Amino acid sequence: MKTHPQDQALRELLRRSWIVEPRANPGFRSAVWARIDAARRLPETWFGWMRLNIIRVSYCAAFSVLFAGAGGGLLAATQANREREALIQRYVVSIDPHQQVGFARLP
Amino acid sequence: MNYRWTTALAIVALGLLSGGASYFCFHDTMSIPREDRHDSLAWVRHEFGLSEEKFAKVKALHEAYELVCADHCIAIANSRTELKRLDAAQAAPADIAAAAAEAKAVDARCIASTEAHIKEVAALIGGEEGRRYLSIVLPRVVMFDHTGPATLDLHAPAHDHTGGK
Repeated sequence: MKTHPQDQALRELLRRSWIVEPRANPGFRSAVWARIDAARRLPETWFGWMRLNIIRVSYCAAFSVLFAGAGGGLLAATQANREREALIQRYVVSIDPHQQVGFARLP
Repeated sequence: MNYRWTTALAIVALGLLSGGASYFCFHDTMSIPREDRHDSLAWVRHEFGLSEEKFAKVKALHEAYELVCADHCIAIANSRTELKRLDAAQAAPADIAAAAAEAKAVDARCIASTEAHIKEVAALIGGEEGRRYLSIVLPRVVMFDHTGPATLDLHAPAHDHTGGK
């Protein structure tokens, strides 16, 4: 692949103007040690972890219970309605001779 | 993060449990008892909260009407058979018209009889519940297959058994 003459110029320009001066993060070391320390202090049991995260876990559990409860209720209502319709139809058939014999009425 | 996954699984399990519990609780409250579902009258008792005494009267009325209904069924079948026979035999149009008129008359008698029975049951239930019974049952009988064409085929089912619902 040939290098375009302008690329060379761009490279020169970048070399002169793009100066990277890395600055040391004074908090880097302490942050790393803090993470190591936090990992060391991780509870040994699940219940210990739950105690530490009780608020987040409670929110998630409450949402899950509400969502699933509402879904279950909705499903039950739909199915009960369908069953009710079937029962009504069965009753109507039991009193309607046309529906019993399966003939349409003459217009 | 094992604890996170364990917690997530526990929450999902909790959700499934509460969803299932909610389903069974709501379903049991809203539906009629399983042992009554084979009985066509059970819906009337459950839906309109009939007392034992009232239900016994409705049941007696229903059983008495079953005999009338059976007679109507036979009359409808006979009138249609005759109509079909004349149609197949390419009988005189006047004869077919007469048979069709007779079939219509049978239909009208059956509808009137069924409506009268429904109104009688509604009166027996009484009050607001009686009116509600009427509003649920009557349209399903009156509207049955009004939109579908008449059939002369004895073995063909009616076009709409749901009464247009």
